[in-house]
Amino acid sequence: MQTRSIGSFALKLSLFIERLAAYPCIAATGAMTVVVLLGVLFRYVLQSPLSWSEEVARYLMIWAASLAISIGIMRREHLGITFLTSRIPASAQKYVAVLVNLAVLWFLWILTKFGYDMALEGQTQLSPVLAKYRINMMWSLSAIPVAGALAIIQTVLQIVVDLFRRKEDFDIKGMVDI
Amino acid sequence: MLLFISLIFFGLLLLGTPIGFALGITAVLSLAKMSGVDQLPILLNPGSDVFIFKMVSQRFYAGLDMFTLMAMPFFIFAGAIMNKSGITHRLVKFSNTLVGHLRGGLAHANIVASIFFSGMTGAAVSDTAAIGTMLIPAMVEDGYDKDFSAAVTAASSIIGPTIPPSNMMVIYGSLMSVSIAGLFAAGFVPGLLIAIFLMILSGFIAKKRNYPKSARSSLKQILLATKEALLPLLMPIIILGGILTGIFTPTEAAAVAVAYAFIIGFFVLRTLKLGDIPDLLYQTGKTTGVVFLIIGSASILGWILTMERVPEAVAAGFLRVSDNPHIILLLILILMLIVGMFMDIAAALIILGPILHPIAVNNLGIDPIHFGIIMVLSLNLALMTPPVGACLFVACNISNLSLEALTKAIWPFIVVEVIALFIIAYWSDLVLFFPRLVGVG
Repeated sequence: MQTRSIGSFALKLSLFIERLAAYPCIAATGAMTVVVLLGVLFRYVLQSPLSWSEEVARYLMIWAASLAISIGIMRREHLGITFLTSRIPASAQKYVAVLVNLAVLWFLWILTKFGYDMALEGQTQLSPVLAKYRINMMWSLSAIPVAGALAIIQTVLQIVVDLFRRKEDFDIKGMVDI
Repeated sequence: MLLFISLIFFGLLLLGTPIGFALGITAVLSLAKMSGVDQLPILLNPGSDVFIFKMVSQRFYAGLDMFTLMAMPFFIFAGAIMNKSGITHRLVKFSNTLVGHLRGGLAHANIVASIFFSGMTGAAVSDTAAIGTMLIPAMVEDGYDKDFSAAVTAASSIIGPTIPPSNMMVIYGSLMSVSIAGLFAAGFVPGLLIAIFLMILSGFIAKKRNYPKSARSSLKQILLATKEALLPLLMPIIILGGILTGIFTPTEAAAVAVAYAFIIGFFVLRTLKLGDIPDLLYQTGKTTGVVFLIIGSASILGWILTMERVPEAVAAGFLRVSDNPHIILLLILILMLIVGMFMDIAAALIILGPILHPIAVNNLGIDPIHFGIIMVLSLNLALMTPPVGACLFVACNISNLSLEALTKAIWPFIVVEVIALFIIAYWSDLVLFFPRLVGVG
């Protein structure tokens, strides 16, 4: 009973952090659409092209997509090939999943750590078009360490969920359809 | 090094590591090997002085930092709005008035609906799901065999990613620096060719099994159905017209598609609610995140592969087998069909593209646009094949058929599609005459 409650606490926390990433991700995806449309509108209808629309939209996309990585971890949408692992006993599957997640954590740690350094260095580098508004590269580069840190938290929580919850609580998703 | 990279990568994949992370982990291990880091504490937690690991975050960021890629989330969003607005039944109805009077009318309507549907989203699996949910039950009720109905639905979904707009083409064009406008223009003829091949086969089977046909629609009925389907059908024309005439970049055209889909759903059909938008944005963002993780991680590994001259080594390997370009192309086709069977097709495109594209273009002299179409087609074909074809799974779910039963029914369609693939792969003028005609080839 005790272990089950650890699992459900981890799941609740995981859901909370998912929302923390989801709202900015939704906002950034929506804003990116509006910004590109504004770019088209200003160029053709108002005949005065916006210099910044492409750059702003690109930064919004980088933020939206990076934040969504941690959402995908929580929703288990990042797909692997399961035809081998699905053939081993369920109890062993759990430990293979934990092992894989530890390797994932290692990658995310290096991405986050060096991403943090990269974002700090970006402070001294002005953004190409937005330079006139004194915007530096840290604003977009920091998407990588922020998203990386969220992804690390979600991966740890998913390891806890894997270890402490029963098999039927899993929700394994299908295939990415673009 | 190539052996090291392949062993790690395939080892991770077999353990079930998500592809995006498998690429990233392989890349970091390869960087460690390149720089000679061999002590475990440094490997686990390298200090900022281990400069080579800077490539991890830099390449990851650079991989995402592409304006052309933005067309992908926009097309996903536009397609999601169109689906939510309930556009599918209008397209199916319109298709049925056009071809329903042929023998096996609903099978033909199924294929033609895929052509129209491809102009909305272009994703093969959602094509199977949307059209299958409507037409498989309708076909079974009309006396068609269930396995045939499911097979024709799954098989015709390949038209979706072939006829523009297509996110596979957006990714290919962005990563390989190939004109997306050119790829879009080149997709039409292959898509229609496949549709015609599938209709001939369906007609043949329908005649043999004496499937029904509906009465020929009157001109009035056709006009009415056209009127209902006209606005959604204009969307691909606006997108493509805008791109091919140079009014919009592909990314802008995709954003315009979102606006158009929104206007149709909200003001014309009035089936879309403002409250639906956040969830559609969330779904769009989530899918984008999964694909962008793969793109970012592949971008780190791609840098290593270039530094280690892996594409040259792979090219040399192919050339050692044969110096006949046709045979090498055949090997590449077989390779892509096999990889597509086991791997998510977006991931396969992102991983194989940068390796195979230079071989095809530099060593075999294939036009970059032509090779893009070949890749998109052959990888998507694998969605229809067992053991892990996503379109098969979806069609099985809708029809309650076993995978074995559907596999038996779909193989004639796969044979026909493979024939079409070979015609398209070996007859470059067929693919390239339209882009050349409109000046984007």
